[in-house]
Amino acid sequence: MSPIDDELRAALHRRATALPPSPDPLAGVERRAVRLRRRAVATSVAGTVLGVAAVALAVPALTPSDDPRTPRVAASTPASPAPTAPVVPSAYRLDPDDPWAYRGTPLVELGKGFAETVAVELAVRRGSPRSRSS
Amino acid sequence: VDERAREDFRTYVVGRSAALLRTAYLLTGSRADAEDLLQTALAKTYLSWDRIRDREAVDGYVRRVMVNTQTSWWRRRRLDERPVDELPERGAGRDATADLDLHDALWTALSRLPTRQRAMVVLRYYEDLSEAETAHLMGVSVGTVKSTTSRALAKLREDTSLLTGQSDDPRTALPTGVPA
Repeated sequence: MSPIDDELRAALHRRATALPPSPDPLAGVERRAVRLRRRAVATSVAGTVLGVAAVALAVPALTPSDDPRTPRVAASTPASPAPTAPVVPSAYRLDPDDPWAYRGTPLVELGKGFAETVAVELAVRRGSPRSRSS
Repeated sequence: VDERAREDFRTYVVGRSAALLRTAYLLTGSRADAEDLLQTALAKTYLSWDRIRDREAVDGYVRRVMVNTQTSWWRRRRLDERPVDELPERGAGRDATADLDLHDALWTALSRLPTRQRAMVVLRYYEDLSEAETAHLMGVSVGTVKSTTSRALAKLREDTSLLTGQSDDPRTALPTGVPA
């Protein structure tokens, strides 16, 4: 045991024993305990609320939307995009979201009376009297 | 906490608070901080009172809470406090008959140690805990206790107030001729 060890021990004991005891050691302990518990509960509740709010905000942002007007969130952005051939828009391209949909030209886009025109044309070719009447 | 346990706790506090206050005082260095620290440690112990099966171990539990709480307070306070060479707070409850000697210089030097080193010195040299007990109480390895205590003692030896025999506090200055 070095001299400083002994001196340190003696110094600490002298300081400690010179300290007068607290007159009412119990005062405030239970009140402080209640306060600590309330604070712990409040912190826990606040943490839970924040967690739920974070999930509620994050889930819609990360879930793919069916609405074509809603832009999708990219999962990750590639550092350098791979060179690809220019994409030519086509009415017949498959839509990954709806691969079974009809890809032909919709009738509504062919103009008014298109069906009737076809019917007349067919009738003329067959020699039907309908061609004369119309 | 039921009524019987509450009474049990009160009996413990009345019987042990004086000794625990002394430990808190050595950990903090000021009477007001010591009372605050002890009250917080006892409040935390009160909340866990039902879970403490071994009543013989309560002292160790309270000491551990005090050390951890003091470390936590020190971390919070160091954000807006800056260490200075001169102590801003003089010992208010100082024994008027105390001599100005090496013990006072040691006390001043002790107040300059970091919280963790100070706690280990108090546990080892005031509470007389072994290295293993100190390690268990502070949640560190025995090797950490050895190295930290060794660094603390080296700092105390090298402290200017001990080397020169001149304490920053004029009331705790070393008398001439006292070996450091």
